[in-house]
Amino acid sequence: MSSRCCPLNLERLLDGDCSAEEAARLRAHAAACEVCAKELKALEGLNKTLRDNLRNETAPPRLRAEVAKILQGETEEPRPSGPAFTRRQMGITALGALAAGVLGAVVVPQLIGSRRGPQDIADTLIRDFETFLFAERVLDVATPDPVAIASWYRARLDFELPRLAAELDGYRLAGGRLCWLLDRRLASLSFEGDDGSLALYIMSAEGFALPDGDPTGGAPPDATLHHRDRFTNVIWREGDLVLGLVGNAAPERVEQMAQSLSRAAGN
Amino acid sequence: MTVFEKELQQEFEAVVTDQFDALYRTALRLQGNPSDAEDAVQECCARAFRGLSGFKRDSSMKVWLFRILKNICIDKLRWRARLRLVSGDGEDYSVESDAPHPGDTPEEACVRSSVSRLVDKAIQALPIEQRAVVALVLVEEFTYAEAAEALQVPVGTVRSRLNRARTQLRQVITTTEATARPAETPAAPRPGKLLVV
Repeated sequence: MSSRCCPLNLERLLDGDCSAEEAARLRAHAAACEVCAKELKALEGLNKTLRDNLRNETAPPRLRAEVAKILQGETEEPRPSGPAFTRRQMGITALGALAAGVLGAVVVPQLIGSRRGPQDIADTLIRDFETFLFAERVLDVATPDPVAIASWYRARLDFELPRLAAELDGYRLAGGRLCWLLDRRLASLSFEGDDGSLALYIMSAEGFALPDGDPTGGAPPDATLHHRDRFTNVIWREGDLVLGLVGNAAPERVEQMAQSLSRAAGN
Repeated sequence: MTVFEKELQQEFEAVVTDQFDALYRTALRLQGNPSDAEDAVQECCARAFRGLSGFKRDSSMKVWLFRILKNICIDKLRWRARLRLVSGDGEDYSVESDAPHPGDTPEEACVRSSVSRLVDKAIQALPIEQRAVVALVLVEEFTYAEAAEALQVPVGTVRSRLNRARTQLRQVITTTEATARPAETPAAPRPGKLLVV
């Protein structure tokens, strides 16, 4: 057995992770080395067993049909440019506009004009956060520095952000996006923690009634709690602003973070 | 819709069609049961389609799709673990249920109940990150680089996870084989026997 008798090398050989030259050298070595020949055979056997037994599994036709329906529904009509939402979502939430552009580019989708009910706020914020998370959208301003973030937004919003902290309750500020939701321009600040991600949406309170929801059981005093799928949303008023904190962490953690944010903002 | 958007959509549909079974199998390995796997694939396709305009060509669309699937599966598993903690039912959700796979004929179900089930159980016993590399590299034949991009880890991490997974799988499958084989049985292959190691 020589120094070439490394299982990792044989695995790389089997998985095609080496050059043709290296592969030829390893094969030649394995042909002459009993230990490696046996190891290679065992590894090949394992690969074969896994592929033979698992590779023939196919998706159920029902699932294929469901996904085809989603894609068909999406493709029947042109979608608005910018971040895309399904027609179904647009219908359900009466979502008028959505945007998350780079460096402040704001795209206004087509459906604008209908008055939003208070419950739409919670739905809209959760849906935007879901899409941001799973489509892996980029942040418009990616920095943990609250001063730099506030400065970036100053030229783009007609209101001042409340006081921010770089870290609160184990969640680190990661940056922000400029969004167009609910017929208005708003800030969405991203926080990352070990147990999940959060987005704090900050917007002008003008024309908004806070939605009905479960009470939070603490500060902020008028906050309401909303749940959808695996997401929690706490919405409250902060002077002339409405704040919505959406997260995929445990509901009590999101609520706790909302309380801390409210306190940090000087409420 | 611009020409670019239309082409992107067509490319997406082609990739989804091509990778659909692979997405399902990967979700099945990660989630551990068909029902959650179906949910994950459906959610993955819907979300990817919605986020198509944000797709940056810094990876292939196939890899991007599997990255979204991985994120969804991990999120679902995390949520499930949280529920288990709250309900305290102690059920091991990480192991595949005994329910038959949808679409299985009785013969298929029978075959699955032997070799495939043993292989599947062996994979389910691995940690989630090792299951992911096994599903992508060993079953779906992703390159290390593709798997690394899909899982958002360095290539070296893919290699080491794969090495640990293989070691574990070989131990489990060998043990299973030894236990299943009666003492007087000759070494010759039998139907349903795991021909590994």
